[in-house]
Amino acid sequence: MSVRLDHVSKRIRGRAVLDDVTLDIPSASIAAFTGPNGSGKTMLLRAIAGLLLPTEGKVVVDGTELGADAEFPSSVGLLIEYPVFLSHLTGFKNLELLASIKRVASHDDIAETLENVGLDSFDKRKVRSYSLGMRQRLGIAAAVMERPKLLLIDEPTNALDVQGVEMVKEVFAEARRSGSTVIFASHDREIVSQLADVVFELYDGALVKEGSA
Amino acid sequence: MRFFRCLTIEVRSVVKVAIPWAVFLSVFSAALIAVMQVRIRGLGLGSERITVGDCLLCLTFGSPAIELGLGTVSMAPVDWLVWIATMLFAASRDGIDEGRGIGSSLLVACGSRLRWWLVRCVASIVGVTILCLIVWVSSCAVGMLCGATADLGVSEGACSLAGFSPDNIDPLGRSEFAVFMLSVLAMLAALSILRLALSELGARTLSVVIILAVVCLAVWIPSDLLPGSYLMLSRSSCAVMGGVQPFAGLCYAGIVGAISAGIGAASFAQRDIVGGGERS
Repeated sequence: MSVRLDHVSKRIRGRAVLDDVTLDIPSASIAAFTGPNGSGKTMLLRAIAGLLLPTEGKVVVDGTELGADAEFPSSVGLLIEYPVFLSHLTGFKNLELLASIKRVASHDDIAETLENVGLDSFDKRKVRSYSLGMRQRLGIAAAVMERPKLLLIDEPTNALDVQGVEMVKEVFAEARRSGSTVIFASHDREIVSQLADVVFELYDGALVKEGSA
Repeated sequence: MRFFRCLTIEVRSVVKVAIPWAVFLSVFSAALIAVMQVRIRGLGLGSERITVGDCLLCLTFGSPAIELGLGTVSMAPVDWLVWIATMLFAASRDGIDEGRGIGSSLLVACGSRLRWWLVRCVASIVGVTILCLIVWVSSCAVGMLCGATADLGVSEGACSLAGFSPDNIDPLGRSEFAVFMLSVLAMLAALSILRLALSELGARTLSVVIILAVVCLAVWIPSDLLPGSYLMLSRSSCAVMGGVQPFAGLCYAGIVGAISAGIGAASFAQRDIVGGGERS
């Protein structure tokens, strides 16, 4: 699933959070948005997800213009900002709830995904008792369980230990192998260099640099 | 099908939040029924047993219009105000926040902002309905445990206590009383959608306060245009001559709900989902 942004700008309360961003991400690649806090990385992810409506320009995902042809990408997995779940349910139940909409992922798929991210699919604890690292793993599981063609992940290694970072690498590699496009945002240059094929650097909402990792 | 799947999730979330308030209201209404029964017997207003209709009257009677003046606040129907305020507050509890985490994923999976907005509106209606049914059924159950007859008609004792003639509530007019109760439910549902729309337009915190203030105005201002008039049996044509028609209340609720849903849908279609309920 390719992603193209054509002169995308967004103003919120008079402030330009995205400033004339133009970029092209081919299918089956891993792209990273990097930059300091407040540079517009998360806003860019939201724009690609269809959650943010550009003031100018257009976002085209797999040939479909968001806002004109469709409101959201047809096959996307999200983890944007904090991994928030229904705290009174278990991790498995949360994923089951999300999977019930499109009914693409089966119970076995959910269980396998949880095991792949290092969580116990039989864990009866409610999410409210999860650590931040566990919630991050659950967030990644929620994003990948339906094997979407587009993955949008914000700060994928946030709160993760060394094993968790290795897990993220494997998840991203598997996604690329299966033809999915992965776009993640991170301010950690080491993670970006390890994971990404192409890097887009942002500053104050504008794209200032583009290149391979 | 995605609509119904999203709706199931949202309704479960809304009902879960509303259940504790339903329990509170059930206990509150049980206390009102007990007080009513004591007063009827204590004042010797009627020898027959109270009815299920009396139990519902307890909650919905309100009061005839109170002329503005000194002491009018102390004359306000506190029981009705508590019930209405709690219902509006409980009905205003949002389900899943689409601006964060799994909520954003659910919105995107739903596939359409309009579909998600309709899910929220319908879930709000379902939540209010379940809340009302729990409270009304538990009120009736408590009443029957206290010896009330399974009769939707209002007893002479309760009529005397309320201050109007039992002739105004025609025993054959039980269907009109039922329509009145339906109009109460419809009006509460419409107000919950209005609250959603106001919240969507930016008055998230004030929306419940604004609606409650408008509803309570009916205590002092007897106007057919105020939604509160359709929530009080004391203003209804099935209890007083020249009162507001329950059927008109149903239509009014339909119009308020439809307009609110439309305005909210238009606003939500243009909203940036940036997390934490922020707006651009």
